[in-house]
Amino acid sequence: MGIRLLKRAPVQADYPDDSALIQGITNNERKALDTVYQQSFGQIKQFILHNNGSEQDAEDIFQEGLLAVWRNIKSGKYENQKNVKLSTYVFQVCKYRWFEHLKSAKAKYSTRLNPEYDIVEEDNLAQLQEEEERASYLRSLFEQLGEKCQQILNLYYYKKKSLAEIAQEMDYTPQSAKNEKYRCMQRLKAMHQA
Amino acid sequence: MEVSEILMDRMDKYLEGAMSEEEIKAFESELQTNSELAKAFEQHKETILTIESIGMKDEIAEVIRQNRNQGEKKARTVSFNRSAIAVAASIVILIGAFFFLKPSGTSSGPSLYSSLYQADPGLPTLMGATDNPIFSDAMVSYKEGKYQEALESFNVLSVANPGNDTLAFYQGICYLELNRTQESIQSFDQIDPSKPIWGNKAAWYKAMAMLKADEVQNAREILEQIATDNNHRYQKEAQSALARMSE
Repeated sequence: MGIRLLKRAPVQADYPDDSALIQGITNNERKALDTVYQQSFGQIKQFILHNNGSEQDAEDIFQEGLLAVWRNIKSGKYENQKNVKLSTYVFQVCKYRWFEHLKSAKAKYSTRLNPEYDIVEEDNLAQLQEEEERASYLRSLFEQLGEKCQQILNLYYYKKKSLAEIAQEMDYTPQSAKNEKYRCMQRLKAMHQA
Repeated sequence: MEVSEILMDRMDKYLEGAMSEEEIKAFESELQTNSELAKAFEQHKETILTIESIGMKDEIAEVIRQNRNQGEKKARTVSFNRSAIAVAASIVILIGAFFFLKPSGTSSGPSLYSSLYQADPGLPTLMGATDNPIFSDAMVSYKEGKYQEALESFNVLSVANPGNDTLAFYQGICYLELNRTQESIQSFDQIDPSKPIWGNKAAWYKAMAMLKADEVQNAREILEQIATDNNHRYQKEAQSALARMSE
């Protein structure tokens, strides 16, 4: 999977259009996720409530769906859908996933439940499950690292903080923050390979 | 290939767009010619993506939780402002609830069960000709509250489909409704609790079955696990159940 080039840019206050919002998502900005929630969650919830789901189902599907959208944006897969508004895309991914969920609930009995989902380039059920299993395996590796390691890797690679900021936050010198980051990364890779 | 700290810095700088044009050129041509480096670089990117995915998943969960709480707060404020009658009415209801609930003893398993339990709504039964008619009928019976009939059909199906989570789950609910709590617990035990949807549901309903069987301590242990799991869809329910149990 490819990764887009990232700039440690200052957090934007808001997102005038989709391309700003997508940049915000690429940079893992909290505010961007909030914006997507405001734009899309209500619609997704209505849809799931009208299709045999509960509010909790809506939240689960939104969580999985937005994570998939984020991944597709990072890997460049979303660019194929460039003419689709982001909120429409998020809704379609969630809708597809909800149908897949209903289908999986009785996969053994029906070949297809509802053909009306309209997203083309999504993964099939087996892929979704595999992905989920792999994600939970990787998480279990990550959680085997000590708390400090988890924190430093999260701050650097997820939150995109500079080593100077991390040093301040975690009470390290910038040099030792850098060494720790390296050491934790090497441990995680070693577990990965084992 | 052993990645040195210097190399890791270079890879990070490259990914962050923090290199000069010359550095970028040099790094990219090395990538082209050194397949070991290219492999190490791919691996580095994948590890970063793992870290980011974990952070992202947790943060989305946090966004959902916070917006949900804000929504609830708003809803409360609105109903408060709407009229004094609503307030008065809710006080009356609260007083009523106090007298109604207190004597029955909120700490006994079965009474907790009856205040917490809500049957699962079941699955849609709009199915085409290719679908399994037994499953469809079972679901219809289930939704009509004919749990004995539904159970018989689910049992037939589970012989042909051993290890099916959906069947195990609805068998468990039927047993629970039919007061066969031990069989209900056994059905829920067949489902791997780490599975995101059926596993979460099974854990919650297993706790319900234990309450109904008055195994309060066992139920509490499960509820405590659910309550501390931020990704669990029944986290909120488990937390409020535990709060009631310690009243």
